[in-house]
Amino acid sequence: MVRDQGLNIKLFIVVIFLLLVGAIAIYSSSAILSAEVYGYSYYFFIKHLIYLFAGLIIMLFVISSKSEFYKSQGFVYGLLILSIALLMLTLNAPIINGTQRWIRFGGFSFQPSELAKLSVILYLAYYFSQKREIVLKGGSGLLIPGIFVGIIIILIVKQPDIGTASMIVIISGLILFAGGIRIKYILYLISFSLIFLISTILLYDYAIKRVVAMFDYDSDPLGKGFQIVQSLIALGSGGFSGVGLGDSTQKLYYLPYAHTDFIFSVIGEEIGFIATFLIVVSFLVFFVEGMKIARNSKNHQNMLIALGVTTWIIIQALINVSVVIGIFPPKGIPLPFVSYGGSSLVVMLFAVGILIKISMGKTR
Amino acid sequence: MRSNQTNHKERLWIIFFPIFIWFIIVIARLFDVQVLNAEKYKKRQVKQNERVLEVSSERGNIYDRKGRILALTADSYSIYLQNKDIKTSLKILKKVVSKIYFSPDEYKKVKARILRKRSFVWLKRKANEFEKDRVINLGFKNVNVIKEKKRYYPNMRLACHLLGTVSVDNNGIEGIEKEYDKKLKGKNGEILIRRDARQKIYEVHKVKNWQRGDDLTLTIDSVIQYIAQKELKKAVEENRAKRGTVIVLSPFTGEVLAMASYPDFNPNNPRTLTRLRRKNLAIELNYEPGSTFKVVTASSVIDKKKLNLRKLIYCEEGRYNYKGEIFTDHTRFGYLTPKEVIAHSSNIGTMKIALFIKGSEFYQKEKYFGFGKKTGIQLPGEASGVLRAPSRWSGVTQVSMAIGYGIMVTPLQMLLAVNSIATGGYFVLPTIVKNKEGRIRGYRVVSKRTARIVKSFLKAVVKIGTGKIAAIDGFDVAGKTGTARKAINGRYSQKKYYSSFVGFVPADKPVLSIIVVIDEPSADKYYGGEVAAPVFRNIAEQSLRYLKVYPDFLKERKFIFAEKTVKKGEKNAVS
Repeated sequence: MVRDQGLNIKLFIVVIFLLLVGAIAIYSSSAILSAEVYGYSYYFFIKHLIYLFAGLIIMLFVISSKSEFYKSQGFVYGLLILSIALLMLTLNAPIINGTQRWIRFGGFSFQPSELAKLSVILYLAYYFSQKREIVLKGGSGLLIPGIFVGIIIILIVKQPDIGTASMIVIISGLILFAGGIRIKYILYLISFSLIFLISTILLYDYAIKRVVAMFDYDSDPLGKGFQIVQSLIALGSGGFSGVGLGDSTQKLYYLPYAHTDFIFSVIGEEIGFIATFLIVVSFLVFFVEGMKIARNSKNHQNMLIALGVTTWIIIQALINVSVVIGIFPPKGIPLPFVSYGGSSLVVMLFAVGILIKISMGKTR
Repeated sequence: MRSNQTNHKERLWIIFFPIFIWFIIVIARLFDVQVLNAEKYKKRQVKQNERVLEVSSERGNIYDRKGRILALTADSYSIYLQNKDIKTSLKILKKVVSKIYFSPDEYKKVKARILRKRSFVWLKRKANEFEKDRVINLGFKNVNVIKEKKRYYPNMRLACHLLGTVSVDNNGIEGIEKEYDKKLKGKNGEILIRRDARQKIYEVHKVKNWQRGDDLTLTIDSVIQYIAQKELKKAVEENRAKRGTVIVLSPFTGEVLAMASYPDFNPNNPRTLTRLRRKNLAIELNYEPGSTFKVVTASSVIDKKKLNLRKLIYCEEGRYNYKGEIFTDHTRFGYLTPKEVIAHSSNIGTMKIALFIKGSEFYQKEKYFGFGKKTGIQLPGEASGVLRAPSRWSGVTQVSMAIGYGIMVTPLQMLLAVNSIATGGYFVLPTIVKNKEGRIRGYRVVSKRTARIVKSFLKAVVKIGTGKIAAIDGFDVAGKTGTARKAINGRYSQKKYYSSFVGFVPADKPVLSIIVVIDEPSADKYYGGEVAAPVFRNIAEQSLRYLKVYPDFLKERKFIFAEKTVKKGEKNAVS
């Protein structure tokens, strides 16, 4: 069964393609805002390039490193503790848009919840591959990971960031499922998550509003549903081949967060269905390749890491696109590799590095 | 181990499959939005960020017959506020109000718009340069100015009813401004603007250039118009009347030299434009003319050659029962010649004269004289009067009409009828706009002989009859007084009258035809000869002097003419 897969070239190409599209689109969609707020049009673009290069260097470092440090006990627990510590720092972080998601280092801000996603994946993969029997039996063996992940989820909910917390719950569930846990426990997890989700939604007013907006975004186009309506207008007016690069009118403040959460709409308006289709297909290729890597990986830990990373990135991408095409309630989730993302991009490229490293099959 | 491996692969498939379906749904939806329904969204985008704005053109000027300006267009400044937050906007408004005048209404409106969170609020439309500077000097960033064209009427109330006025958007809404709106307005331009979500304009295309409107020259003479307005106002006020109107006509051309109504308004200030004031009575008032109509009666009968001018007519000592209805005179008359009947304005005598012709013949003449239909003057809102056909007459209609009851006329119709006597029998159609060819339209309505005879009657009115006050030194005046009871709720009032005088001067070589109608004089006088005749005289006297028309006996003394060179244009203007 042991087989050297070599560098997964398809995966590598689609990631580079998405990064390129993203960089161009970020310049196009942020230039006006940059010029108005910071006085020159390259502000967001240059910041994005800094994150991008930092992320690429980390990715290449992971790929070329001799050891699989991300599988070691020290690294996994270290990252987990670091994530929890940084998340605790956010409790005292400045409030931005009513939430405390960012902590600042000099001129750069960092979102610990992004790092938390990766550390949860690595931790669960490590734990389940080490304590395989316990997991298969279920019961008390699930208690320790439950506590760690629970702390992280509670800290993230406190920010509040229901979206990211839900993502962690879903990814954890998928890893448990793939890890071979009994269906009974999956059902427990699902019902627990539902109760948890409903109670947090009821606790946080803004979450209710978002859920409501899901159902009637068109009846009140200037209210809660404004973003979605504007997003559809952007995509629709782009048509098949777009209005031309740089010529989006929707980015002129009709679309909020044009360079982050709604960058897909701007691309759709400027380059049309051709571009949006290619982007979605790229993610599909990434998904298929990621799942292949998981299937073909030689050991349990690799399989769970590959599955976790792939589903994390793909579900995030699908949610972002589904929001902007109006089939999912508005969530502040960036499009992986494409949106202006800062710390999220760095962490994701780190994860892609791990995925590629796994695919190269030098697992022993 | 082996079974576990397959178990994992199955579970990976279970994860893979729904996510794959999700991809398919996303692609389908993208195709739906971007390809199938693209047009729908494109339209919505155009709707939300494109606007076509009209750029108003510059209205043409209006001149009087001598080229004096009556209405012009100049730059004005519309001041607006970008209402970003209510608190600062209200502060700004407070400051602005301390610098320029706001009426309480205006202030309320502006404030309401600010409170309603409108992003764009007009503070003041069409302010003058002085006001603009005062506001801009306050230095608020949110306050800006758009240059707009504003209509100015430099002579204020002069000819206000005639000229009318324009709306804020420079559309004519009254008078000549309305009637000639298309010509004066020119063509509006169009610009296409595109705005971002914050309503900031980021793109402007000129779609159509604007074209200045044409100028217009009226037949009005500003000086005569001024005289008419001044005298009319004086008369209405002195007689504590409700309202009044005056028309001055150039007899042979039909050109209106002056047309005035009172109360009036200031067209520069639309707020003075109430419903009562805006009415141009000269053409919009339908009234029963009373005795002035006797001119038409006499002309009709004489033209049919049915009246023996030497025959005496018995005036029944002031009281006459005709077909069960009692008719009276203001004085008891016995036997009068037809000329005396008109001169002294005997109702009973005129009724008897009217009966020399058939009803249908009378009706025919009335129609020829232009009653019952619009004169076609180039002004909006003209009334047509009411002239009933003989089939709808009762037994006394013919004799009632003879003395000016049972028929409704407008002051302009009445003047034109009498003007036909001034012109020697020609009915001349009126005009208020100068036409280049100087074309005069009209037709013969009575014979030369008829006109001559009736003219002698009308001279007698002023010499020996009811219109003595209209007499002017050095000129023969021909005219007719009228004192018509107003019909109120179907009955004739004993207290409310239309007092009027219509006539022309000099009688044998007419230069001016004038009608004066005063509604409800309520000081002690009410006879047309007492209320309206002096207005006629004052206007005629001053206008003749202005037109350099001198009495015949003065013309022979050559030094007056040697002193003044008469401009050709001025002489042509009225003859």
